[in-house]
Amino acid sequence: MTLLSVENLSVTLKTVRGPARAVRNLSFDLEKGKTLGIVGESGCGKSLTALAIMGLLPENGWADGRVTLGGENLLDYSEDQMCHVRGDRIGMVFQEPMTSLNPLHTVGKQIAEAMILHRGMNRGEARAEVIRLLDLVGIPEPAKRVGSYPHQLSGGQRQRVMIAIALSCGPELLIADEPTTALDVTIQKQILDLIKNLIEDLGMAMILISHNLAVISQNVQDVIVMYGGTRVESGPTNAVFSDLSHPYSQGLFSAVPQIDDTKASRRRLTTIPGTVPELADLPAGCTFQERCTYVTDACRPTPPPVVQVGEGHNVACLHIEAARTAWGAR
Amino acid sequence: MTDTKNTVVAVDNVHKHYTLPRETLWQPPGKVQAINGVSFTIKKGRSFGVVGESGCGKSTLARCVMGLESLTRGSVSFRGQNIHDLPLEDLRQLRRHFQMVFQDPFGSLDPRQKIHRIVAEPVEALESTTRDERRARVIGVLNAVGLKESDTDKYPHEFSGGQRQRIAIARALITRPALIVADEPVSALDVSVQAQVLNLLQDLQDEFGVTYLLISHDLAVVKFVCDEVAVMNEGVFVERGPTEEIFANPQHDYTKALLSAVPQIAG
Repeated sequence: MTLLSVENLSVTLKTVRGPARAVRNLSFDLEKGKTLGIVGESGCGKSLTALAIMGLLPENGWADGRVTLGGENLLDYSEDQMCHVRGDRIGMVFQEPMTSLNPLHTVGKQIAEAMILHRGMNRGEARAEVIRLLDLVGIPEPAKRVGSYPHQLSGGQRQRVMIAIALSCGPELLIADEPTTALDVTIQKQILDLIKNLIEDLGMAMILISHNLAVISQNVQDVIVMYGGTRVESGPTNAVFSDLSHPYSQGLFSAVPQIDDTKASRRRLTTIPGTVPELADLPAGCTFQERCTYVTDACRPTPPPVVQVGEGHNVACLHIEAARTAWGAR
Repeated sequence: MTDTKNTVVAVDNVHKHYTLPRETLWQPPGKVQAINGVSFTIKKGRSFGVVGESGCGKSTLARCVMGLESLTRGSVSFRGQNIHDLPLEDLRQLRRHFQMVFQDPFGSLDPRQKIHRIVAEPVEALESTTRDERRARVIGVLNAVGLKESDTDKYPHEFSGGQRQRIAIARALITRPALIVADEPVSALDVSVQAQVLNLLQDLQDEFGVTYLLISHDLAVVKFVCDEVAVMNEGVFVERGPTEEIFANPQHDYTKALLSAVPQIAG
């Protein structure tokens, strides 16, 4: 059953250089209990997509299209109505646990807030539930930690608190935007394992947003690769990563030094020439044209067609055959 | 240590302890032992990497090697001279031979100065040159890092993160240093740009024979750049050796834990 349906979502930001079309015509469906990853570099629109779904776009931005959660278009909701969706039906975990927690309130109070607001609990009930949640996210001595302030916790523990807040009302959908980017690798692994186990146990759906291909490849069932505000490649994670077909996805993959690569030392990394295009001044046609090795005149006037290359595996490119052949021969 | 002629940097049993602010009048203030006895040498034209998690002391080590922190114990020698014993003016003069690249390309460039001034500043401070000489050298290093002559009159905000990091590298290169200490030089960059900067570091080493001390939390980055690597935890090197060997056959439990935590691209 479809939980979240995003149809033709576009996000536009008003800037001094004119409107920046940060997300363009993005569509995807997320089934109940499934996990979706969105991967891309800074400025690709992955975070704005998440913010648009949650109705948290900055004041200079607006969204067009439809974001349907359980049959209702969230983009039509008023701010008051969205306040009852956020934290209740959609849980959120952001990148920087130090800035997303309020330094002046105890973690217990911050976890209880949503439950008191959305579930009508009194303080005693909420406190018991907070202790249960802190235990669930693996914080030792939860009964003592209820009264701790964020600065008394380590980065990993703060992110566990953020997860406890996100889970407090038993949301149907968890949106995690770069949840482990500020953390060390060993802590990152703990947090990702925790999230993975919790969503399986609780039957939640998740959108995981990351710039890290490896994190995405290991933690979600489906993946969308974004570039310059559009989807360039998508499909089941295994199918996409075993058969990368868009020149950008291929470039992104080759640019990462691999730790298990035996030839890694002294080998040159393959780079993607140039930089991400200015969102206020995007080229007509394919957004990747300025940096693509396969570019031809046909790429310039209109956006490339979306081609299915495998079961549910879609690629937006005119030169898939050339890219796939070169990738296979690498 | 026998081959002192080719040794650029020798770090010998360095300790660095910080005193914490006093909390009560009735107890001595606490101490943080950031570095607890670290020794290594780097030979000319080689790259030495230090990996570890936040708080392990790796950035403090970089600052000690640069002479930006005083040592609690031990010594750091640059080409046989103990830099912590030198008078300040001599150290300043010596600094032209070892320069630093910082992590954050947004915070490490003065937003009110043009690229020309930013890159020329080390030369202005250390050498007596004419304007024309300086300009020629600025253009020379900007070309070396892949930027254009027309970029000299721009301000930092006009550049992307990767370009700013190139500017920071150009500033480090302009005095033609023998050693560059790079503290997390690519961790603020996107992967496609990170690859460009890592390749640049390699090219500069091939071309000018620069020696690197690279500090990073990213094991794959260190593996890509460095000949030798040390794994740091709680102020000490828990393991050290040729990069390939350490990564292929880690001995210490901490190294193993660190390596197994790195996510791999499946598929």
